[in-house]
Amino acid sequence: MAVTPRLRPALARHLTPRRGRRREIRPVTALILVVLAVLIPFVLPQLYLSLFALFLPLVILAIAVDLLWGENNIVSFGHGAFFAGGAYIGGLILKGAPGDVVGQQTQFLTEAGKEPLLDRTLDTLNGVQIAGAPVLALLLGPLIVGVVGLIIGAIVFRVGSPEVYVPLVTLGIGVIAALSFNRVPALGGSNGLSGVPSFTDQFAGSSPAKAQYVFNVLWVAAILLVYWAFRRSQMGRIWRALGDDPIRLESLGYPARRLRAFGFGASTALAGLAGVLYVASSNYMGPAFANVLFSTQALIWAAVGGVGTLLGPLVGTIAVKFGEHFLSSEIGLEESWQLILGLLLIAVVLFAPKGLSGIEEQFRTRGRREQGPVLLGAAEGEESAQEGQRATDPA
Amino acid sequence: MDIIIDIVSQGIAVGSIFLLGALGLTIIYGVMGVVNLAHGEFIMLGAYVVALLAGTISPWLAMLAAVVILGVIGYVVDLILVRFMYHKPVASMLGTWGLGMVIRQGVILLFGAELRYVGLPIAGSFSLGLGVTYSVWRAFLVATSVATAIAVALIIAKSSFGLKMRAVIANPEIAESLGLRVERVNRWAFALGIALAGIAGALISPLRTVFPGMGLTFLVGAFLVVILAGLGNVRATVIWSMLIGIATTAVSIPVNDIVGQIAVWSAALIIIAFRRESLTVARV
Repeated sequence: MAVTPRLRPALARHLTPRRGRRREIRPVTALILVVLAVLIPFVLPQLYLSLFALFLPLVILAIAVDLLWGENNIVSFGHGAFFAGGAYIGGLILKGAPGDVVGQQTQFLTEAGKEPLLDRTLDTLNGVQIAGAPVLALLLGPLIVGVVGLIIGAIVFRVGSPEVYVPLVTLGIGVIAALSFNRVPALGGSNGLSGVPSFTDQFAGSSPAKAQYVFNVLWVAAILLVYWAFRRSQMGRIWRALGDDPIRLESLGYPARRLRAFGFGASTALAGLAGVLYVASSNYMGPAFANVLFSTQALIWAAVGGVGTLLGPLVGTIAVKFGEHFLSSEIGLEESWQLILGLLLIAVVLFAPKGLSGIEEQFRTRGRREQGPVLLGAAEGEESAQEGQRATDPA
Repeated sequence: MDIIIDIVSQGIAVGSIFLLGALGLTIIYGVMGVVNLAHGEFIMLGAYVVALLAGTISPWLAMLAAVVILGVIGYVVDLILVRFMYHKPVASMLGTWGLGMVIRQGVILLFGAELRYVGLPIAGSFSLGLGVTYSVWRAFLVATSVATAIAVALIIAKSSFGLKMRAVIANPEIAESLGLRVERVNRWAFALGIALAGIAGALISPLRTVFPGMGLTFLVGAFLVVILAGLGNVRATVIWSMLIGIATTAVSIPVNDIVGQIAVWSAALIIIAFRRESLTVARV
């Protein structure tokens, strides 16, 4: 390939701690967000509020995707599999009690005699009514998924060019996961897992939608806060620098591959957490969520919001999901929604690599940039150079 | 013994389709650094052209039409979209995935989502010995795709277009400064890769149900070959696609299709774990 590793001034910027250099969010913006989050349950009608509550876990999935893509230049086409994995684990723990519809299905389907060991394990899991089920679901879901992700990451990041390998391997993982979930009777097979109780059932009162919204919004806020702190930290700087130039980081003595494997594991754990929150909000999980098609939707949310930005996943997910709802349910363009999403993805790749969050900046700096479409890949090199210039500017 | 013959012969047929898909991917990645995730959709389009035309004209003509039409589509798609993503693997993956979504949904909107079936142009089967029979069409499929692979290898090694392609792969800037129209070479190379997908789609159409979502399996299989064989290596591509085809059927005939795919992917992950060379090293 023509692109040779070259000197990247951005690296220096990433590694030198300079407070306030990378200002992600103005205090005003943060304040507006908090006010909005508080106001929404009082303003939105019931239907939209419950939709909003349902979309919030997806924001966490978008953050998980963005942690890899925006911060480290690694695209995963298989995060839906980890999301669904977390959701299934959480769903099984939350359901707890045996003798439900799915349980009967289990009995009925296992007579064919397939995968008895896995079924038996899942049956025992199904049978145990656990006291601290919600806490356990929220702990075990991300943990198990994260360990699986870590193992996969440890394997995949051994290879030379992970930015090409990882997407292809995760693509395969997504396909395989969807096929496998389809065949495990304890997970409801192709029907999926339904009737999962929500976290907020006990203290929902008269408005389950409101309770769910509050619960999920607190989680999203907590994750965003952690993400913000991570991006400012030394660790966050190293993580971004890894995406810029892993070879140089390795030569500086950082264990690049191990760090990336851990990062991948953390990202999958986050996807698992999103899955647990989602299954408790929608009361349902099916194999379609493990599919590559769903994984790419998460990529589209992150892309539309702006890759590598703090609020991009939040803005993108909410915008695209509500857009989808309005276009398909209210205007009746259900058939063409996939087409629109595809065009949206192409448009973001070609014209707005920083998504919605980047549009403002793009307008501001238009005069200084070269003409023509700004490309995602080009942005890697070009932008680094630009950022490097900015870094050397005194102001 | 008969089951072994069965597995190997069926596996080679599966591998042949992977081979055609992987060859297209390899050429496109090798020449212009584009990872084409819409490749499965192009295979689907090839099958669709045959399914739509087979009723009106002879199936052979329909298959020829599929290859030509897909080549033209490839040329146009490169002109309007793919050329903006040269040598940007990450951007090209996302952009071509978006393209795949558009193609899939476009086909549903234009022709409907129903399943279609294509009759066999050559019916009949012959015996492989020990009671195993093999359909003539499968044999034709294997022969055609191996012949195509050899033709592609010859084009790359001997023809002037192949020479230009190798020049572009080696160093696009220098090739351009020596007066080579790199843009044009890229465009024809992309058209060639998509035409190969068209051949794959046309050949598989009588054996599989033709529907808009059929591309994903082929995409995943072809990429598995590419991951293991390295991008840009024709001989390794032939060997690995046959091996993967046989490995898939070796599990899926005695157990089932899904366990077969799971087993092959797990094996691939393990093989990857013990290899460290980068994808971009391999050259045509």
